[in-house]
Amino acid sequence: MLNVNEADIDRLTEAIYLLLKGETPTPIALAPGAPENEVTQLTQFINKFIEEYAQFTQAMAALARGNLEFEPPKGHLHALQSMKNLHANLRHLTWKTQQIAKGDFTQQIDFMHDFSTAFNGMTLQLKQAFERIEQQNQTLAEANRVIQEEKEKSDRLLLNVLPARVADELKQTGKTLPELFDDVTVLFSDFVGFTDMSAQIKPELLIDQLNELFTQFDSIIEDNGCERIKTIGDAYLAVCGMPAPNPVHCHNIVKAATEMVAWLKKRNAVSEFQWRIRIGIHTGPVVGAVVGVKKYIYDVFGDTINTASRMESHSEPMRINLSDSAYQRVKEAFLFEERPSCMVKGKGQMRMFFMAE
Amino acid sequence: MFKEERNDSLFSWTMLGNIQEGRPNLGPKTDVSVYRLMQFTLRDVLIQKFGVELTDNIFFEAGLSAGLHFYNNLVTKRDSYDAFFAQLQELLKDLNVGILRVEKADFEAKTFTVTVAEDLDCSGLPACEESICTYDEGFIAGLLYAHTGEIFDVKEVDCWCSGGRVCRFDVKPGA
Repeated sequence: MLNVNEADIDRLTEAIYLLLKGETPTPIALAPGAPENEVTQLTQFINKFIEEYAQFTQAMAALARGNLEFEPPKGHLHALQSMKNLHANLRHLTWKTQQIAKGDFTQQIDFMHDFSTAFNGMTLQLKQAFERIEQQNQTLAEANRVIQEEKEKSDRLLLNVLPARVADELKQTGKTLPELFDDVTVLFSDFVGFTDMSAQIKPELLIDQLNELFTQFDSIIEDNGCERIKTIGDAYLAVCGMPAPNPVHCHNIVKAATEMVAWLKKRNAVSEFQWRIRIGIHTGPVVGAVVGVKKYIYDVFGDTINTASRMESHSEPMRINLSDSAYQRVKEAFLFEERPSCMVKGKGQMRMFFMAE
Repeated sequence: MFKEERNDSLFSWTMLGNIQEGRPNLGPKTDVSVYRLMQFTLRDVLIQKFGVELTDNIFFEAGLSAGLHFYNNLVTKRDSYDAFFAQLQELLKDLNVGILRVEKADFEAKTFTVTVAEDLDCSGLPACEESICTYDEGFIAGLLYAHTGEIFDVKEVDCWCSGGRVCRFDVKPGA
């Protein structure tokens, strides 16, 4: 006959009551020397249940808070196994989502019923949206490439008519102001007998010739850090020392002039057409400004330009004629021969110097 | 071929034969119970002859070899862990081996937790407080060895037999 202690039954009842109330009871202490009977066995089972149930509720609470970073407890409770399945599935979904976030849209969820359908549908939508964006990006990149090419073309065109610094200023601010440059050297050249030549050869051929000559001059001018301003018919105007200051502006222009003559001589030795130039060089102040609103032209103004032009007209074929102000800058660097002073229209008597041949 | 004495593995994928030709009517699939019949009778005899520990070793090594050959013959996406796991998941599903899920993966530390639900070896077995999927442990270790050239320690921490409803494997770099 089983002897049941009422106090033992009370403790068991209280434990079950607390569990049903939603609380976690502490395991029931067995009295030392408790008999090996059905009550003791029941107490041990209930304690085991309390322990596994406590672990389960703790894990379930963590899961409910969205915390997946815990190791699920051991045990055989069906509820615990279902929770562990849910935990495993949620961790798997997290991993899958991370893969998709990295751009792998091939990831699929299987065997999760409605959730699989919804998740895989979302992944497909994301994939399609991503592909659309990719395609739009490609179209945009292509459009940007075309725009960039066109911009580079227009920049190149702009640089053909404007010095780089002026072109930059115009692009950034939309305007440029006239600027006085105190110390600039100006080169003026003109082809001897151009008018006669133009009457003798076809216009297309004449233009071809001029194009070749001026292209080479441009190259020499650029190589020497100078700036071609413009051509007027067969005349060629270049400067150095503006718009960017250059302390050796006169030296550079003179060097460019000698190279122009040297190149022309070499060309004449092998060409059907013989071209000869006169070059005049003068140093002084110049005003530079963009002229025009729609058709921009960067031009230079001032008496220095007129004087350079006069130096050119007082020069001789294939000679380089310098004014005194230009000569003073480079007399130590090159060989010169002083010419008898000349009466220059609008200027009076002027000292001039030929570069030694 | 099949019954030669050997000290090193002579297994090759061709030993599986041309199933399509050999089974034109019954096809390549069979009942899970037949697979388990062979696995557990084999285990039964091996334990009788060699004991539990050695039998476990045999199953692990057989799984390891299977994983290696499986990878070399069926896995094609080998560029990254991501692609590899994604394809492995598809392959195991298509072959009705189990539903592989990656719970956690730290590719730099090379630690993974993967689960296999509806596992071919153990899902539905009677509860017995034992982890039974030693072959699966070897299989996963073999796959990862083939993918990385490195040894991994694979331990089953939850099994249907031990009361779980999925098989959970902890994977970490081998010693």
